[in-house]
Amino acid sequence: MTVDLDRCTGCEACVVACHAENNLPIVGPEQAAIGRTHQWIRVERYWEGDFPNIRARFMPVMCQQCDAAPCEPVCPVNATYHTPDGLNAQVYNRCVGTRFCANNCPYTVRYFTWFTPEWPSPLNEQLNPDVSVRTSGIMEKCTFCVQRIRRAQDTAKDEKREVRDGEIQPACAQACPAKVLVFGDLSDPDSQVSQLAHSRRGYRLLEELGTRPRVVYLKEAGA
Amino acid sequence: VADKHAPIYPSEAQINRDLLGPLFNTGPKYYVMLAVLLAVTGMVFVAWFFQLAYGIGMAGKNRPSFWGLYITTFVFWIGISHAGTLISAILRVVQAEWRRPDHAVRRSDHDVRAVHGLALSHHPSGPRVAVLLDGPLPNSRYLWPNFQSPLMWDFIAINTYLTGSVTVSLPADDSRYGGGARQGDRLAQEVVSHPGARMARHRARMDTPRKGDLDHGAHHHSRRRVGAHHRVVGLRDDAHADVAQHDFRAVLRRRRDFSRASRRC
Repeated sequence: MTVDLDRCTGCEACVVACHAENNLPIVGPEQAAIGRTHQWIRVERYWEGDFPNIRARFMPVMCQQCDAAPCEPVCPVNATYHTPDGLNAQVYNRCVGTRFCANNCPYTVRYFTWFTPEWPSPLNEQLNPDVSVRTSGIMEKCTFCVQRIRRAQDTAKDEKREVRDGEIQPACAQACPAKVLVFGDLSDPDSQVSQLAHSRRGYRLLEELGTRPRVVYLKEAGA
Repeated sequence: VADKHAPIYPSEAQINRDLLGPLFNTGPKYYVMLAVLLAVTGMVFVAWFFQLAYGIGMAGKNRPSFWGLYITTFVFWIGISHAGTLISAILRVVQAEWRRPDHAVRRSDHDVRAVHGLALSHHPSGPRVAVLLDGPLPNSRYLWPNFQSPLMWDFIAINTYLTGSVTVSLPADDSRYGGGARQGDRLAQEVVSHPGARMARHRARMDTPRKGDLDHGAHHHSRRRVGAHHRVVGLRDDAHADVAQHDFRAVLRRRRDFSRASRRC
């Protein structure tokens, strides 16, 4: 996935789309105030300069699906692991809630369900049947909308073809009005995401830690 | 001719009274303190209940301080346990055998703390209380645990510590834990119910070599040592190492005959 920071307006449509797609619990204002929100993708906001020459910069941050993910080796029950196709997966049924993975994540993109989740009406009517509803005491995080990936793979298999570039879109990328987020196969040199990733603007978050994140950020012009 | 500069020691009875007095006489202050501490202990269970009933969120943690106070208390517990072990080990190494009964008490403290640490999930191991208690071995998910995870190392270390404290350091108390119980239980029974016989045998064993002022194997009892330390050794009736523990238990049971002054020091 690539994230073009030059395009991001900070509208948080991706956050809303993620909530709707992935059955994220709504924790309410009190819990949110003490840092218990669930935002598999969040938009970080940075202020630059002094008034009146002030400018906001936005940076959407989701699980970076690291190749050498620091969250994986510390889980005592293998709840977080690497899928054969390279996703950093979270198995809810294995998770016993030690929260070690979240402690070890330099991006703090892992979210813990502290209480049994409830959805105020009418949100309880729109839970996505493709995504499991997690109970309390479970760690969760961005899956790159794995349910959409699997569905596209199944469709392609039924039609006896490869998955086409751009066929898979996570909810955040689909909802983004400015087309900040582009999802695709980085190992395919012809895919759109591959070409964007090789841009001179490209960099990865906290690259120096050696986590080999698989999300490429494209620097803002003038930044 | 008496040496004018020789220190004047208090009588044996006086030492006994001073040292063991608090064990026998409990004033109202003691009960007030006891009530306060019991209340604090009670609060632990109230808090625990809330956490079990409503979820781990009751513990006030958030993102990114996912462990918060729990990791603090866990490290604190580790520190206390290891300090206690270290002190016991040092006393053992320098052969301060008169402290033996204290060791026993201190070590049983460690056991309690180990159990405490496991059962109350002092370790920040999440909402399932039993995660560390019954451990993920073998895993109910038909999956081996990830031995790369430092949490597994903790699990192994704590259980090793618990096993070590229970089975190695408290032979007389084995009966409580079931393991290797018979001999320890027999000894304890004998000491508590027939102290006289046991002590007579003990004296007999201690007496003979002393006449020749030989090193009878317990050089920590060396008669060359004078002064307060020697006196305190005398307190426990020249307690031989393995008897000392029983003596102390007997003292706790108000068996005064165990704490009387010895014939000679």
